[in-house]
Amino acid sequence: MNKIFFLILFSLTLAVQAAESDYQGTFAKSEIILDCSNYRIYDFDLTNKYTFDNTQPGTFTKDTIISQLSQDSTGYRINIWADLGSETGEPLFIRFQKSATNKEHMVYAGSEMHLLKDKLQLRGGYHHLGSYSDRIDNKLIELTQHYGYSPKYQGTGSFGISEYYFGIWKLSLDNVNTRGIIRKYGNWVLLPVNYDPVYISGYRYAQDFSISGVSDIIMVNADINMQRKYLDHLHSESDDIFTYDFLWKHKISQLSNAGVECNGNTDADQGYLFRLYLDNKINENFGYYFKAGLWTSGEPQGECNVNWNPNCKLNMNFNMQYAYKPSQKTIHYLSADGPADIKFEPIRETRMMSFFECMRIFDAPLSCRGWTLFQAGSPEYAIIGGDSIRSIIVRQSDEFIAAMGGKINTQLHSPSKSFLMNSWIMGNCFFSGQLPEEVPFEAGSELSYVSGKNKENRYTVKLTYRTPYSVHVNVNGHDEIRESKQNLFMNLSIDVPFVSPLFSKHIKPAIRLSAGPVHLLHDTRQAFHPYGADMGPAISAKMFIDLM
Amino acid sequence: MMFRKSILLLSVLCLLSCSYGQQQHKYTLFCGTAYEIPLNLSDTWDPFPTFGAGFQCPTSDSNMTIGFSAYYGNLKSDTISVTNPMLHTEISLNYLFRLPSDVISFSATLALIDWAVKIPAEKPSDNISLIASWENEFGVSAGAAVNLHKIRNLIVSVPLRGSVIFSSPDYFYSFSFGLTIGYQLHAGKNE
Repeated sequence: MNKIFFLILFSLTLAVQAAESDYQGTFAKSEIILDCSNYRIYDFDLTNKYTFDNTQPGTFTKDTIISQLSQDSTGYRINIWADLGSETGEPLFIRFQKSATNKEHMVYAGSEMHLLKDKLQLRGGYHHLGSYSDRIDNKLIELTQHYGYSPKYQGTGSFGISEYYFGIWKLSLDNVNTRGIIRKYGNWVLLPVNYDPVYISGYRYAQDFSISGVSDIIMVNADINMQRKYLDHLHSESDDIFTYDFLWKHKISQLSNAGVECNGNTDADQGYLFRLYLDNKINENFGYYFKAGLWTSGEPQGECNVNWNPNCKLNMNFNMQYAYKPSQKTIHYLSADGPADIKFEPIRETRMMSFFECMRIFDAPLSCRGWTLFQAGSPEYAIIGGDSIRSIIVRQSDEFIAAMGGKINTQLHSPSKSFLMNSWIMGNCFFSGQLPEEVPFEAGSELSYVSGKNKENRYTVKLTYRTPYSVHVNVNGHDEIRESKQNLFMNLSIDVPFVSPLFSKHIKPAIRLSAGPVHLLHDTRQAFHPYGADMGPAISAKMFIDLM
Repeated sequence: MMFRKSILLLSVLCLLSCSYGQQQHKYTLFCGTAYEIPLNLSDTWDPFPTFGAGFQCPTSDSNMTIGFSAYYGNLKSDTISVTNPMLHTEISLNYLFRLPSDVISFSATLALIDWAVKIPAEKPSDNISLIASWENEFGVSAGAAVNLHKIRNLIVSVPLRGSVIFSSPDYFYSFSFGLTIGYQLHAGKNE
């Protein structure tokens, strides 16, 4: 038995790394900020916030994107990866029954296959964010003290903040593209506004399908989410949500399309939208589209978007919309203060947004992007407590918001290209009003040393400074700002591909070791978000095995 | 005893794997012993010997190798009368500093380690899973080694290491020194 365990352990050590499909020559730059509320990835640029599914923390759109096959591939490719990470002081392997301390650990393992000359792609795996978020932990203690029972659930995600198994497939033929995603998940979800924890588990299946003909394109997306919610922290109730989008575009001239679109969401009140669509390209560099329609409640919706690429280094985009978001189902749940309701009010807002990106400025190694936002609308949403009636408004009613922000990036390297430096500075400012969440000023620098024949071995140190991250709310008429501390922290990483002892032409293994964030201003653990978990230095090891 | 057999089995597997390796590359198989001197704040642990084996693979940097190894020993304390089996696995990066002499070289090592200690079940009836009965903690280790290349393909190394294991509530420190014997598989152009 011990022998079997040892072999398993050894296999794990070998497999503790991963074949990330885009590994070759590129290293993922985005970071999972483990302790942001609901685990969002923030780029600290409002225009570039990753789409996030707040019912499934730890899942990103990034997870669902299947990578492209590299140019030098022989027509098939299999990647296998495994990633183990834990905050210092936390056991490395998941222990389902207990955690030594309220800290983070993570397991992410999976495989991706590219077959039939990349026409068929399959991906599947397992992801566990075994985080005992401080917020969740504290709330559970409060609940236990108040109600005399400890919320514990069986099944996927029982004790971690997020756990899921996933499978993705994508088939690309000449005129047909289809992609399916299935997940079995269990999550501690932090509800909006107060960030109270609720456990939700279930199955989710989403399917995209598009077919294009000579003059027509049809796109269909359907998503069914079969949830079980533990709103009283003891009993579950089912809540199935079905969403779909349908778009039919017809070519009316060489450079123009017209179409019809409809969207539906069973979670929203009268959440069905019908729109007409028109796009036109004046030339290769200039194009626009219009969308206009009605919700079943009679509320109008309209959008206009203009895109201009004067040259390959500059891209400008202007978007204007009147948007209506219907109210969603009210959530009745048990908070530590008693029964509570969260009511999502409908949102009507007028919004103008411009965005530009310049890849290179005056032939200097500088790139920049910037944005402006003008927005007016009704409250973002409100919460009404059950016992003690109170209202929390995240954005003032009819408040006019004018904001702008930008990011400048520079990339330098030594003459031998052994040292690379990437520095950035970004900030956002508000001239009028405020957004519900204020993304801070951030500046940082990343220094890498690369070595080896093809500069494949990479050693990186990254230093980041962030001003406090704040959430703006209005509680019973009083403005409140809830914010994290400012942060200065360091991350270290080492990426080393190595030569496989077996079939080295076909097996390309590599490891990535990373450590951080090491906080330099405060204690070893720091909150990145007002309601997120504290995060101390974590260490992770990842192994990639690329079979080609 | 079973673990030592497992280590032997692993060594054989590694040897078999590397025998089929591409000729233009060079791998090192090694085994040896290390004497661990553990320290932490709450308990007094006795120094203890460990035995282990591993292998090193080349990277695109000719001076850099990546190593995988496992060491096994008994972590014990006479003060609190406890003896726990301990397994230390690691992924290491080894940088070789070449000296003018062909016989002696110097290498520096940075390693990510997993220190697993088997926790005995309190009662035989405890239904404790195999992995859950091991406490695993991450740690990092840094050290240096003097290597002797006197006999062809054989490397004798004397490593000296310092480690910190990020356990809870206290960090666990360990210092070690030892002796390893490695065999280099290299053929073709390198020979």
